[in-house]
Order: sequence, then C-alpha cells, then structure tokens
Amino acid sequence: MAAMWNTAPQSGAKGEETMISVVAAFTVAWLALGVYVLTLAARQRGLERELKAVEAEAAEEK
Amino acid sequence: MEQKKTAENLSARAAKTGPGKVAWWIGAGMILMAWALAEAWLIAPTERTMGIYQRIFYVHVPGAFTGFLAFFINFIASVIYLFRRSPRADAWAVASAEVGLAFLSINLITGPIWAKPVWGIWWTWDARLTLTLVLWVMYASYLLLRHLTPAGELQPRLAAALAVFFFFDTPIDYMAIRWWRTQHPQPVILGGPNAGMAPAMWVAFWAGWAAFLVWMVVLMRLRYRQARQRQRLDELRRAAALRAS
Repeated sequence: MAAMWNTAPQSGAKGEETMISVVAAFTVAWLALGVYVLTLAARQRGLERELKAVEAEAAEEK
Repeated sequence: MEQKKTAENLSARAAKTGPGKVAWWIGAGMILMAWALAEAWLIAPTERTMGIYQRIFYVHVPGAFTGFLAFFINFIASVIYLFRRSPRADAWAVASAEVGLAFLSINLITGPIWAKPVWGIWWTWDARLTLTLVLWVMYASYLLLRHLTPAGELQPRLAAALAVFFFFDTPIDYMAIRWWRTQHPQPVILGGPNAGMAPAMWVAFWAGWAAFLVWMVVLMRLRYRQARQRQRLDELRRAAALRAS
C-alpha cells in the first residue's frame, strides 16, 4: 500500500478551493516556532537574573 | 573546591553555546525558511487530486519528522544518563523533549487544517492520528513530571527511565500507516516502489525539512544552555542550604 502524488494536468487550483487553509497551516506553524523562541528568550532572562542573585548571595556568605 | 570547579566548568560550557554562535544558526534558519516558503508556495506544482491543500504537506510532514528525530535524541541522551549519570546527557534529554514536542505540535495542528477540506472532518481516531496524539501526551507528561518533581538525583533518573519507555511509541507511530488501514494517507516517503512524488515536490519537501532541522538545532542549543544553567542554579542552592544547616 503506497501513495503516489503527481502534478495537476494544468496549473491552478480547483474552483472551490481557497487558500485559507494553506495560509493558516503555514502561519500557525511558523508562529508556533516564533512564540517558542520568544518564550525561551524570556525564560533565559529570568534564569540569568535568578543565577546572578544566587551567585551574589553565595559571594556575600563567603 | 570541587563544587567551584564544577560551577566554573558549567559557566564555560554555557558560554560556548552563547548568543554569538547561535546567531549564525539563526541566520541560516531564516534563509532556509524563506527558501522553504518560496518552494512550497511558488515553485512546487499543484497536486492532481488534493489541489492546493497538498501544500500543507511541506510543513506537516517536516514537523513530524523533526519531532521524531528530537525524540530519538531524547532516547539516546536518556540511555546515556541511565548508564553514566551525566548531567550533560540529562540537559540534552530535556532540551530534545521540549523541542520535539514543539515540532510535533506543529504536525498535530496542521494535520486537522489539512484534513477538514480534504476529508470533510477535522479529526478521526485512526491508528496514525491516535498514536501521534498519544506521543504528544507522553512527552508533555514527561516535561510536566520534570517541572513538578523537586530537583535532585531522583528526578532525572525517573525522567530518563520514562523517556526510554515513551520512545517506543515513535517507531510504532511511524509504521502505523504501513501496518494498518488508516484514514491517514498511505506513505508517500519510503512507501515502496509505487510511492513517491513529482521531483519538484521533493525539492519543496527537502527545503521545508532542512529549515525545520536548522531551527531544531538552534532551539535545542538554546534550551540545552538553559538546562545547564538550571543545573548550576540547583547546585548553588543545594550548597547554600548545606552551609545554612
């Protein structure tokens, strides 16, 4: 069992098709990655702040 | 003294994966992303039976394959952790699980967007779709477990054991459309002599996957760096607690 995909006999989409689904799929995919990158950047800032505070605390104790 | 050395070592290694080096990868990721979009939208031909909706394939399948690869890295890192108790392996394990989950999410979101106009339904509980959802839930619970259990030796050990067990869903999920009759299309890639795509479609697929792979490397390096910093933070906190007691 296998699938074979071929090109359309003539270029252009079928009449009832809209680009909305295709645009939505690509937008969601790249947006999801963008949001993840921003989340990582925000998390990095928080982590560095936390690390600095703990390191300063440790230095003070010494 | 030993602890100070470990902290310095962690800091030096974290600097190696710092923003300067990652910037090159981000640049490569952006270029590949532009190429992938051009291939998928402008260059790849329209498929005969599904029409323009088939173009979702160029983001849907690379999402799955990148997720599977990240889970494989998680599996290897977890096995290494179980044998060697290496904190670096543990950091790679958490980084690959999180990044893999992000890419599998792309696959799971774009799937129903493709299914609705082609099948007439958003979702069906066939073997491929169900196993992919189960895979997503397993790695989400893996990350949740890591987040909710206190840091220490037990947490990474438990996570590594679970990860080894969870990984076995990945090859079953990959083979599902070969083993069982599903609503999901039969394999186009590595599906045997009667499977395949028009040559121009292959180029669009490889462009999309290359872009995702580069982003996987970027994200995994950033997340690995964070995991190492988190380990250092936990170590410093444990040392402070010891001094206080």
